[in-house]
Amino acid sequence: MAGTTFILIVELLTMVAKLAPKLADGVRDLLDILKGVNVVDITKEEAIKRIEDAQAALPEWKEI
Amino acid sequence: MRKIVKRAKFLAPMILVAFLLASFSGCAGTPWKKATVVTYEIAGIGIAHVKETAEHLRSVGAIDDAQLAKIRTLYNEARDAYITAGNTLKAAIETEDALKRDALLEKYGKLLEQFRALAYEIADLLNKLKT
Repeated sequence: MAGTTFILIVELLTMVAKLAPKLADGVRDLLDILKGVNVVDITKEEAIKRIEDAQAALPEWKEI
Repeated sequence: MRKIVKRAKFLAPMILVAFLLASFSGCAGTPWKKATVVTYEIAGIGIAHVKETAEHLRSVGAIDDAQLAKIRTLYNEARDAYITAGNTLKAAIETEDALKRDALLEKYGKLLEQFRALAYEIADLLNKLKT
């Protein structure tokens, strides 16, 4: 079981590594975070705007 | 029908992966603002398609009204936690007071935990769907 999981993780990481050059900025940032690379800071305004955009992407689900 | 259930089952691991990734930097400090924002965004993506998927499953009879209502309740609770967590993170980013920022980031981490628990419940419900 552990061996299968390990193989799956290696397969997944290899696949992600191959795709890395084509990935969107957000995903590339995430890869950098996972690799421990220092991700460049952003301004407070940009951070707040991105948080608000993420919040807006989850609308309330109203009962019909 | 089988295809739709498979799609729902695909959504569940997506939610789990999003939270595993988000947990890496949920309480990141000031120098990691971008990392914190990116992981917050990704955590939200984890449940972004729950409504659409659940309504589709209901329309084809894969789940009943009670299951749909349960998923809706969980989604709205998870969304509330997510919005509150976002507002707390915004407050932490805006404050100049280091002590206040630490307290807000701690609160943010707890809210994200709440969100994660609710999203896991949704994932669990979707996982239990029979093919």
